[in-house]
Amino acid sequence: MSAVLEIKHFTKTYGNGKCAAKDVNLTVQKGEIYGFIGHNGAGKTTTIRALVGVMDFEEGEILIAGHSVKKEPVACKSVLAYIPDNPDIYEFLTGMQYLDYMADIYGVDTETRKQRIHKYAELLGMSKDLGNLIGNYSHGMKQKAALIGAFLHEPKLLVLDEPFVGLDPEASFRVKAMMQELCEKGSAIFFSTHVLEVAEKLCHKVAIIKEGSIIASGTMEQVKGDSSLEEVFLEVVEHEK
Amino acid sequence: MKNKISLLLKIQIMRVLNPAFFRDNSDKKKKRRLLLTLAGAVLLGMLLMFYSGLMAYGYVKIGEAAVIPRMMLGTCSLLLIVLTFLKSGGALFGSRDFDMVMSLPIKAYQAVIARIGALYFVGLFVFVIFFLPAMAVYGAHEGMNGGMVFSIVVVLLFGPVLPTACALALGTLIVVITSRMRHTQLISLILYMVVFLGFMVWTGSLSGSDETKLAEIGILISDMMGRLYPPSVWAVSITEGRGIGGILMFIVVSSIVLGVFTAIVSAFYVPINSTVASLRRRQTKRVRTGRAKSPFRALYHKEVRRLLSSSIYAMNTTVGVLLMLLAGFAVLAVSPASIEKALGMPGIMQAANGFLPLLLAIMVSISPTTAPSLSLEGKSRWIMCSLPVEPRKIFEAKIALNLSITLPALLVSGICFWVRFRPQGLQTLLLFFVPVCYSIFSSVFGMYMNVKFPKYDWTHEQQAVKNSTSVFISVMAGMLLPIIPFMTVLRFPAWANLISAAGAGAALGIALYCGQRLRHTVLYE
Repeated sequence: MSAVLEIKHFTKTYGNGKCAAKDVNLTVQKGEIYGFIGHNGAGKTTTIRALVGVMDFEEGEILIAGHSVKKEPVACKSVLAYIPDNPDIYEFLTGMQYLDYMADIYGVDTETRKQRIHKYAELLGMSKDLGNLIGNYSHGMKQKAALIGAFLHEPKLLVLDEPFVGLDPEASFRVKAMMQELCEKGSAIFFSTHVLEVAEKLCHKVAIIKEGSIIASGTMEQVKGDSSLEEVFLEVVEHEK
Repeated sequence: MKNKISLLLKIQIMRVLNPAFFRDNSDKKKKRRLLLTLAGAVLLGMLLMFYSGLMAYGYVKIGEAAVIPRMMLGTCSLLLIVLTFLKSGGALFGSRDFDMVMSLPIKAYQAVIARIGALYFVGLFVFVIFFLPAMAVYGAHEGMNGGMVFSIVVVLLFGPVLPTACALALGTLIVVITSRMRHTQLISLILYMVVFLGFMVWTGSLSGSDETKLAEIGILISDMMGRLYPPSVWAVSITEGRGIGGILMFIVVSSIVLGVFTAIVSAFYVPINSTVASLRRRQTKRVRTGRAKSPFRALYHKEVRRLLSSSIYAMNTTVGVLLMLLAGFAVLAVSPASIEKALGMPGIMQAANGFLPLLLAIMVSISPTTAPSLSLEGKSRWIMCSLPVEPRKIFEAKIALNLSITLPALLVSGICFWVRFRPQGLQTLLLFFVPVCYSIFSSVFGMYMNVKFPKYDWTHEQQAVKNSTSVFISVMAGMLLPIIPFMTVLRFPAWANLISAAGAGAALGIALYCGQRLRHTVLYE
């Protein structure tokens, strides 16, 4: 299987001396949903921001579909989609204007975008709200608009930081279905979450990060065995103290 | 109660100024930048105070010192009305932090007092900058006494009250009315522009032509201010020798207006804010997807929408262009002889062709849209950093926005000035070429400055558009770079063409350098 995402010896130290990520290594294959879990401040967001190219880093290498994030950032970004944990999107645009903007940037043709926007907006109950300014959306609606924008060009790698925060149960259910559908088409998904039950049900593979280092990784069965992911997480994190 | 108001007021003042000044910045680079910005702001303040004093001295020189108090009070009040009006949208009603503030254990009137207080603080600043130096000159000429000192203190403290209240009332009305409309921001922007242009035309129509007429301007403004709102007559009663009664009435009326305004706003604060919020969310309709376009066009259209969505951004960055258009139409409407008479400079028409290109250059380069455009990405900057678009394309779209505003305006104004002044040959070429070069310079330089000095952590657009280092440096450079050759041309008119061309060359050279640096810039969050 070809790797969509390869992180090799990624290390990031901030200006104040804090080492947020230490020799992080992981690989995500096509068709995989990869969960990335850890405490607050463990290094999840740092790793994610580096791999999507919004943050510079000094050590290591990150490849997306074979392209280096440092040397070929545009090539990498053209095949991925990213949503941060608190997606502040353009409040001066309407939902539809934002989606059109994303579709234009990613080169989605008129007919295709029309079909996909209609499909995802209906799925997430946003059809009647796309004509309103994003500034008037609730947090959950902004999250949904950002998600539609990310799925619009069917990225090879979808990177999500805490995607289920702010979503109502129905929307969470539908987003999971969208993620599975995307993976069935050959894309990969890499997401961080604090909701371990979701990660357990959804993910093929998982990595646990603590204080910048990966302390456990592998398939869900390899990592959790017969226990729940929550039990394994607490045990592994406690053991590393 | 007092503590709560002062706490809320402190937050509001911090919001109006710049939270960065109040943050603990252990980063030496950031601290240095902040100090530079502060130094620049202080310098600007001093320059404005000097200008105000100089203007007052002009009236003293022509023997019309008596008009200074009322005229300066009127001028400060009008200026404050416009400034407060431009900021009024969201100041009292429709503000983003309404929910958060009103969920605290405070009363509505406490929140209202804090908000009005912050704007009053800005008004006080305006009066200190413009009124105080002029009155210092007046006092030095007429002789300072206890009554005059008392008048100055009263005007400083109470002068901002009425203009602030009037502007807030008007702005609030616009917010409430336009919140029912589909294109709220666009209509608000048009209304703001109408008020601003109307103000400029009105003050411009008062221009005289010689010393006698110049003196009459002061009296005209004084009389007009007296009719517009009588309190301005009351406030200067001691300085105009009419006793203490007027100024006491000024204090009483200002206090009553402030009290009544605060009471009314407090009574309707929660209901109106709830109505505004619900009206904005009420529109639900299905819309169609757009047609596919290139990434550059998508970026450009986004920039256009950004500009039109913010009256503060639009007004602050297009003021030079608006003035230029106004000047162009004005010279068509006024005869050449009247222009010479108005300026009091016979023969100026002959020399105008020499400095016109640089005059246009000054107006077109003082306020580029690019200077705050990167900062305005704010919390949404993760979008531009994660998109599969080279940073230079993003910069080019922002630069294209500024050029698409300035170049057509330059064409229109240039044609107007050409029709009036009829430059020949090379001067015609320079009339268009020189300002275009400066427009390119200000667009690219503004972009470069914003890349060097981004300000993403704003909580109100004003902080990015008005109070940021990139905007300050861009405005200063946009003024100084054409002003220096402009003054040189006035001194050496025979060399006008060469000086103008050299200035344009320098502007283009700087633009090229900045453009090269931008090409290699990488954008990170």
